[in-house]
Amino acid sequence: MTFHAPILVIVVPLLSAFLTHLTKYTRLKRGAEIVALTSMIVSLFFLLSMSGPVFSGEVLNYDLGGWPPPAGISLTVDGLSFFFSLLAVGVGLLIIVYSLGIYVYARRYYSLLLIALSGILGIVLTRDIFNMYVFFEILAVASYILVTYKHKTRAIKASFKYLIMSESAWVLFLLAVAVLYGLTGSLNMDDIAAQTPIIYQTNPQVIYLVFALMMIAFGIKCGMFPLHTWIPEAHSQAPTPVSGLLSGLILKVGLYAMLRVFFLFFGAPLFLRGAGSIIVYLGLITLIVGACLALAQEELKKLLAFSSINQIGFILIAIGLGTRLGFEGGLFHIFNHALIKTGLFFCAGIIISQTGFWKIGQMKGVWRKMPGLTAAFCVLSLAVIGIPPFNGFFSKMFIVEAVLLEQNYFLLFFVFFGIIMTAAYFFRVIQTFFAQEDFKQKPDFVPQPVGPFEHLSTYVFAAFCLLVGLFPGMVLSLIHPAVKVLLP
Amino acid sequence: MMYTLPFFPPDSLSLFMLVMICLLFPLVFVYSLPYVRRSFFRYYSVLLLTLVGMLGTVLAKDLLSFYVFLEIMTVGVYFLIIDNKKKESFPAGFKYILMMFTGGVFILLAALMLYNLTGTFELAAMAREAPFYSRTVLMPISTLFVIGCLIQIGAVPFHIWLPDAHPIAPSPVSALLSGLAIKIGAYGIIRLIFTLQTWDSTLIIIGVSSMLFGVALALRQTDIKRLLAYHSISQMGYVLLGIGAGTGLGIGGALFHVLNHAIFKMLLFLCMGAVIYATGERELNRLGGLGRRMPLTLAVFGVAALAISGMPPLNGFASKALLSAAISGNLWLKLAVILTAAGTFASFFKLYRYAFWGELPEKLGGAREVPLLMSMPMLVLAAACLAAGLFSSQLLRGLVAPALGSKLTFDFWNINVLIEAVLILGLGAGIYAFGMKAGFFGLRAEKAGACPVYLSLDRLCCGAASLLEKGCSAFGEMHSRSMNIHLFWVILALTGLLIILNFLMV
Repeated sequence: MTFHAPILVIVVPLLSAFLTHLTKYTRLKRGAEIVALTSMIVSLFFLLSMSGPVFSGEVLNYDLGGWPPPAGISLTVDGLSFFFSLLAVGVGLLIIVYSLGIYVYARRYYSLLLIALSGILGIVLTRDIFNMYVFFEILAVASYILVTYKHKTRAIKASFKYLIMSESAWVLFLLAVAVLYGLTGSLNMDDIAAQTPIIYQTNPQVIYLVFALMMIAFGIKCGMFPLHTWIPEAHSQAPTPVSGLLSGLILKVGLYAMLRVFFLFFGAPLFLRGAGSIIVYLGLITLIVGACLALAQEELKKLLAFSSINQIGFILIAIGLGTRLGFEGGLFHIFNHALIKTGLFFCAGIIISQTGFWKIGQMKGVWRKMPGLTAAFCVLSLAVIGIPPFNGFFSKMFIVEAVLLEQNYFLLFFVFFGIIMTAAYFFRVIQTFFAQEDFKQKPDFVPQPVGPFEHLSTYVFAAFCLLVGLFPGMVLSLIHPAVKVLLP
Repeated sequence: MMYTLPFFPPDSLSLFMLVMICLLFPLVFVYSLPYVRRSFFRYYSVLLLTLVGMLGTVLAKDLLSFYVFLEIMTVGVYFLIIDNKKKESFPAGFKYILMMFTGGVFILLAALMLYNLTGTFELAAMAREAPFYSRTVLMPISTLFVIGCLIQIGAVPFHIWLPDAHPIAPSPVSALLSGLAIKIGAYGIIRLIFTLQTWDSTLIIIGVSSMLFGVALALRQTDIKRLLAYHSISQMGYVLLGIGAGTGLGIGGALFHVLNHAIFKMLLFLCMGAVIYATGERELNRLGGLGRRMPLTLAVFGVAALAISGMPPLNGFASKALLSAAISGNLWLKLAVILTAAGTFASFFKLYRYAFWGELPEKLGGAREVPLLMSMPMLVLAAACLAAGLFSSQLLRGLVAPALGSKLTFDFWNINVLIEAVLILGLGAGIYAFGMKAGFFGLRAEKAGACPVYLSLDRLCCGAASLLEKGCSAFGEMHSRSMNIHLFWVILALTGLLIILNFLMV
């Protein structure tokens, strides 16, 4: 059983995606939900069954169909992919729990959600670069449709922009893969990684080209400036759980690909010569632009989307530094941001569905109607600012310490600027929530009923923020094997 | 970099702060019972959170947990400040939280730099390591930390949040803020600079400017709580002056003044809370004649006002005498101290004149004495003012000196004290008479001579902040929404990246 676990983690949700449609022919009343939830739990079980060897530093290789790597596809579970796949399964599970309460979501929704999640798991676990491309496309196609799920005009426009931007990223990525295949004759990442230093000796321009193409592709996916342009639209127009999926997981997949591919392929030749600092300074611009634009937003969901860009800036700075502490901080912040931002989008979604307002200025006095939810929002936003005792504090402290050890005070100043700006734009929202006057309901607006599932998943995220903040060692033990992959 | 919560064993300085907080905090609790009428649960849970933060900061054995609890306190205090939910509460709270987080960032940075230097966050270990490093290495770190603490204290030039935040909070919270919360910053400074041995007399300059600036602006206020808030700035100036003096007398005086200021400033805020509770009014223009209706409040107000002006035998005089002795060599500083005390007296005379004296306005016909639960804490504090003044030498020997680990003694009861008191009274009366006549601080002073924009730090900072916000909005407007342009950016980024890689990375 354990032997086939890597592929089962991906295949179980993928097959269940098609199974959800078959529940139409059964007597089960909410069959699709049950299938979706069960498949994620089973997938989590298979993932956890591999935790023992991963924590002891082993790398589990699995050749698909028994074909050895150059010809066949191989899957690898090491610390890094285990970290990201655990994040994907955990957050995915809570996204499904959130969706349970909303009856609009039918079989099609759950099946697309499962396809997207299995796409993420595939990207994270595969060791074949073309296979990675395929999973990227699977994820992308599923998420385009998910964004437009409610058939609103604005959502369709947003999704179209997302489609164009994202596909241009994959075209560039495919080009890079083709160039690499032409040069090395292999699609296996380890083979390519072994050959890149040799190619670099004779023909550095090709490596530069591949690096630039991949940088743009992953940059579009993770929201790096100036490629972030699809994010605000798609994040704010998507249905709430899909916003959570986009911000919590899909952005992180871009970061995973950056970590994995860059440090595997270009680690030795390019990074030592300052390609890392390109990531750092692009991250810096991303951070500033995200912070400034978040402050200027009037819509809550757009503010959260720009806040995601801002936080991605922090992560890019941390991983671009390429030091041990930088990786720890970056990965920790990836983990925290996935929890926090998904939770925040859930909060925002419930508040919007209850009040009917999208603009922050109209959400006055929300705390009186929804005290628990406002408290959760406060906790989550304090966590993302980096205020102890919540989880964001530790990751931000690691990032600050990593920058401090580089003795780069210019960078340090802007990191602090970003932290204060985060506080500014979130407290702008919080103070509106606590205003004395009540929001004035539109006369024809009927608030949708919000069930226990939505609240449950939101509170679980908030509780996790506190829990991880109090016991950061839990997550750090997960991060250490991942960092060991990047810096052996 | 693992992190645990190291508390205990607290040393005598922590114990001093602990005793002060634990004795004074319950009074706020009792006073709030009748004062806070709605959302009881939220108010008290946040109040307890603030208490946790305060106790944590003074008990923290290392700098990181100091920072952690400071932020917990900050967040708690923020929600207390906006508890009234008036229109002005939110800008004041916003200013408070942003400035506090900025201060927190300074403190965190200092803590991390010290960690990189010494390999530990623990204060005791740092004290052992510090002598091995030169002053030029330690001084910038210590400066960062002290700036963070000065923001917490609200010393000039970081005071801009204080006159907004303290008055707008519910009165028991104002008492808590002025009496205890800003003392944490003073504790932080004393704790760090004597751990690292990076004492510097620059603090005297900040202290004196806070003293004079605070009292000068306090004289002009017509809002009763805002007036008290400016006095907090000026009284914390005394504390900084004492720390800056650096001698045993100076630090002892500073610490003693921390305790005394906590007592009488809490009392003053609770008094003003009683006035507001009875009348619902904060403007001196619309108050008057309350003395006959609220004799008890008037009596305790008198005690507190004389204590803050440094009149013997109330507690303010004792710490001020210590501070005067610490700077006795410098005539200018001495003059500043006496001038501040005289200005304080004048401004409280003004407060008394317009709030308690004269005719009761018809609107306030229903004003009557506050309930027992509110008057009891005030009486306790007034008794404490008197007791701390009468037994000042015992208090110094038994509580303040052990907190510093010294054997400081001081003879409070000499003729100089009396001379100084008379001087302050005379000068204060002079300032009052002159100021009223010249129209510097009448009731309509604010309109009479408003300070020009470029001289007000507050306006400058708020102007810069709103400029930043406008800039962000303009940037947001500029940010293109067209997909063609976005795709163009992708191509531009790709080209730029290729150029950098091929030509610039050699």
